[in-house]
Amino acid sequence: MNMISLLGISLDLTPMDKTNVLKSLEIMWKGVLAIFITIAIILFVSWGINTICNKARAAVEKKRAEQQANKQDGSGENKAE
Amino acid sequence: MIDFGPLLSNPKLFLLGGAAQFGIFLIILLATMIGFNINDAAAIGIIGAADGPTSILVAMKLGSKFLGPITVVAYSYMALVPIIQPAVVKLCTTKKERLIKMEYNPVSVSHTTKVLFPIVVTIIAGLIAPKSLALVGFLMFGNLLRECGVLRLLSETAQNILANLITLLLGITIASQMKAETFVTWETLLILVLGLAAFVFDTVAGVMFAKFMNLFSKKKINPMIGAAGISAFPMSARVIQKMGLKEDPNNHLLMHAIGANVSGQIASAIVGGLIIGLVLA
Repeated sequence: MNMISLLGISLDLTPMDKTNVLKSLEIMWKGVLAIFITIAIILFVSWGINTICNKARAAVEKKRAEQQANKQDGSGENKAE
Repeated sequence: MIDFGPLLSNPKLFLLGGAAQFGIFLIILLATMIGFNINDAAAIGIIGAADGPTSILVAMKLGSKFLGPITVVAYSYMALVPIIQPAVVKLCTTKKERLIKMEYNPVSVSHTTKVLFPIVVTIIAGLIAPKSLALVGFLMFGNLLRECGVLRLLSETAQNILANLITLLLGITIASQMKAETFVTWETLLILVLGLAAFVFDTVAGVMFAKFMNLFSKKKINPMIGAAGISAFPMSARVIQKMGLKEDPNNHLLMHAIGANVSGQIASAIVGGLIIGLVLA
């Protein structure tokens, strides 16, 4: 009645032990699933944040470089005049 | 107080941290099969997290009567990482795999990302595993102190004086739990064996997952990096770096190993909370 078969190994357990083993199996699959889901979400969100931040920084730097180039052009033209 | 930079610059290393927690679940199963009740088995399994505070918190929350032995075993094996891991890693990998070179081309990580990361992780971990908030929250709080850049003194205090004080207090407090009648028993010996097995299975799982990732990635990962997915920071990463250099003096794996190691810290704290939640459910 309290025989349990894990990976082909049959174990004769007391009802209490059987409950514990079944509970631990439940913890195993739920735990492994939950940790990978959590990690996947963290991975995705942190990658997203970093990509957005890097793109925003690149855009700001590009704009700054353009403004500086415009300023230099302006001052160059003034000098020429 | 940990720098998450190496992890954020190569986020796929995060998966290794998750994989290297598998030993915890396997030991919970083994411990229940030996005859420990589910609460004690879960507290014993978490030794595999290689994280002292996580082991203590889980054992306390689950009301395990083996708090003393579990703490001693967890801290002892954390110190024995340089002896345990090289042997296991060598058994699980071939010479060719250990020679795989990994270039370090980090993606630039913005300061905003570094500040937002601890907040985001705390929120996500809190939503999925609310019981892990105490562990994850404090881990991330330490990182936020460091990364915000305006709390230098607080950050330095937390990294040095406060950390040492807490470790001392923790040791003294746990020592009071170790009375002869509860400590000098056969169960303590069993916990010692199961704790070692947890460390070994965690290392094996990390290495095997790295090999599994290699099946799908163009840039091969040195499987030894997977072993650094446990939470023993920075000991495990240093061990892997040394092993890499031993195989090939030009093979520097430290930054990759640090990334996996840091992810192991986060994953072990989350797993601690998950286990508390699942056992008490």
